[in-house]
Amino acid sequence: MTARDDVAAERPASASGREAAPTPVRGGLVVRDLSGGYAPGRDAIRGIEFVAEPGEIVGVLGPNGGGKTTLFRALLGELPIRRGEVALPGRPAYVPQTERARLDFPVSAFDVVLMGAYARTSWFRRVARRDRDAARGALERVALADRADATFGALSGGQRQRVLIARALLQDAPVMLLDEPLSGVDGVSAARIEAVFEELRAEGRTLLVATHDVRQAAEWDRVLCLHGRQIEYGRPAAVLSPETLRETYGAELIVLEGGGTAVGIGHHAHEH
Amino acid sequence: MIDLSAPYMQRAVLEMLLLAVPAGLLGSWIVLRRLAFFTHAVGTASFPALVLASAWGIAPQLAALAAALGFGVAQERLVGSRRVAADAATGLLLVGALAAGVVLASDVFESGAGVDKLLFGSLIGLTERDVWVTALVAAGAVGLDAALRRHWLAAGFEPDSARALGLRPALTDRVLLVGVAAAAVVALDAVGALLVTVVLVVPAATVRMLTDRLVPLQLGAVALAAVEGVAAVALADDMNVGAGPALAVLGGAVFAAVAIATALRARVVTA
Amino acid sequence: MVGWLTDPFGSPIVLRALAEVLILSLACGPLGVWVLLYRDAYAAESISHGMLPGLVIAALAGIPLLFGAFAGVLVAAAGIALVARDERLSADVGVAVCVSTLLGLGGMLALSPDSPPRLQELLFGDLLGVTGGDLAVAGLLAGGVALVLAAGYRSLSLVGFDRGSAAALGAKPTRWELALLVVLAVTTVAAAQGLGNLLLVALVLAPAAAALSLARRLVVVLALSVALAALAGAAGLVLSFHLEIAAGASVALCATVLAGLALVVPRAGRLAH
Repeated sequence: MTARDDVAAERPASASGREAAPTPVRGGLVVRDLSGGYAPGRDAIRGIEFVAEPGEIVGVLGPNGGGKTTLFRALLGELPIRRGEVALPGRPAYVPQTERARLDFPVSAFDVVLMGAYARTSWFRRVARRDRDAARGALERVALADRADATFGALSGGQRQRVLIARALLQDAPVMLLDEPLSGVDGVSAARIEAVFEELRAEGRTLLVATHDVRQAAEWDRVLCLHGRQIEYGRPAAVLSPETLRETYGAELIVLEGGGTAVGIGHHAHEH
Repeated sequence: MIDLSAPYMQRAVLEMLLLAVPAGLLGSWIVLRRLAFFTHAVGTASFPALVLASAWGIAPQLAALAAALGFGVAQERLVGSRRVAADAATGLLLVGALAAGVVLASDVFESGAGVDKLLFGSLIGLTERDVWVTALVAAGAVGLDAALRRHWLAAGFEPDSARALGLRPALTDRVLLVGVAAAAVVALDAVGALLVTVVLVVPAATVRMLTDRLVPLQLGAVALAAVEGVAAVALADDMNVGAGPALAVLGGAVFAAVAIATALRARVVTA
Repeated sequence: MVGWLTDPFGSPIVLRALAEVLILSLACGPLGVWVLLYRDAYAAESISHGMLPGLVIAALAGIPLLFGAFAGVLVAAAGIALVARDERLSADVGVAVCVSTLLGLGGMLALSPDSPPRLQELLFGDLLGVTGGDLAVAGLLAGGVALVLAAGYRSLSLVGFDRGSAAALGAKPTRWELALLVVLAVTTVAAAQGLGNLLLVALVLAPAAAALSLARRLVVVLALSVALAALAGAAGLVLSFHLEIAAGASVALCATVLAGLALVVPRAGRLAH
């Protein structure tokens, strides 16, 4: 896996992340003929190939077990890559599905967001003042500044999702991978999360968002359809045809009246 | 109360105060990271090594540490082979170690008293060297906690993201296990191989029911372990039993009281 | 050579001990398989460790260990169940607190200077001290366990392999999970006298772990588990006789060594994981 050094521009220090004008961040992601998997001799994902520009949101569609989370793991360097290569600037920030977080941990929302700064904090030192301020700023961006001291486990599902997004914001990464960030999330949280996506796109970051919501994906810049192998990649208008969706989802597909839109179903199990 | 004029009492009290440090700092992580069974197993599995140490005249801490590391490696191999689940592997290794210890002991000890001392600890058996080693481990616990607490927190909270956050959970978690094993090794001098968890788990578990935040948990656990430890020494001296059983009963009673009190309070709040 | 194997069983004491382990194998063998399949190894370990105060009190009071074992297991199981309810503490922490408190209480009662020194027997068993009456009780308990497990075979398999669908297929999951714990408790009581509360879990877990590793089909695994437990028992007694080591520990050690050997043999069974 090839990766250039982190080229993210330094953000100006401020008490609230929103006061300074967004400094351009060079996102961008190139994936070439990527294949990899866990079981020996079997690839969970094969032949993934696409280019995402800075300032683009890419919707990643596919059935459960179809490879969305596996692709993310590969991009994070956690999955053995058997063929192909990935080029991206620095380490991506990752927003996993919230069910994987332990709700009984003695951490407040602020503590969780602060984890985003751990990579740049050396062994024995406290997290820098600047990062603490940035953490508060991140919580403001997701509209949870007033819940900063609440225990993470006591928050609602949508609020927890927003906290994990704020943690990713603190990492200040040019590329962000989000695994179903809107599933099961209440309307208020969803609206705030989508607004943050727009802000991140304007800052020049690249977002990969795994989702089951085809209508949502239709509003973004690109769509990647996966079912083990890459089915299709491109602009939503071109990619989201009934045939492509049928090929992506296989039996999990419901085509709504009029054949206009199709909806993928069954997203409770998490894939490896 | 406590008669501190006797050297063995001085050592016992000092040992308990020093033990309170890993008990609080590492014990909190044992509770949060679900390592209680591992802790119990590491302590108990050192039993055969302790018998051999007795026979060959080598330092029990060394033998116990070797046994603990051997146990950890064997456990990892077994679980990695995917033929047996983690708790089954631990259980098998544990009981195998106990059986081996008994078989060895019938050769080494003439009476059962030697075995009782190893399993349940002995107040009188503590040497100055034991106290020094405990002090060393206590200092080590402080250092490790200061350096790695963030890693242990992030890896335990939500393991998938740990590497994405720039951490190295595989390495730091292994260090945690080694730290816990070292704490168990010094605890078993004082409380016996079977009762390591009364020092390393019970105080932290008790305080966990009282607070939702990490720093109060750790400090509270250190304080509680210190108080309970010293009280147990007094009790043990009074009743002429080991410190381990005394601490077990004391710690268990305090835990039960706190559990009932917090349960009642929750009921009142929601009513 | 043959003499070396059969000599020990010339003594009626050892013969009775053999009868005891064979009887226990009937219960521990199949039980262990279910315990492993249901991932209850920690529960098995904990209930047996936690019963110590019951045994000690019975020994001090001079009443048959059987009653102490029953009471001890009940208290241990109740304590564990209670502590498991606090949401802030994970199950293993609660169980550890409960078990260590009980172990410590047992140790305190047994080791205070006025107590008769019988702790070793309680911890590690008194296999060679088994009487005809003990055999009868063990036979009754083990026989009951074997019957229940045989009768529940189909339901236990349904619940064990697919808890979610079991109800639809006619087996009630919670009832059978509870039944398994009760059977575990009874077996623990039966085995406590011969092997001691610390070692009895070896005869439950080890032959079963070996059997799961060596065989594919569940029926074969269950039968093999009984056979291996019996083998460990007999081998343990032979070794104990010739090497002059404690009988219960010898049996436990043979069982764990058997499991160790089976687990390094190239994999044949599919049910192990």
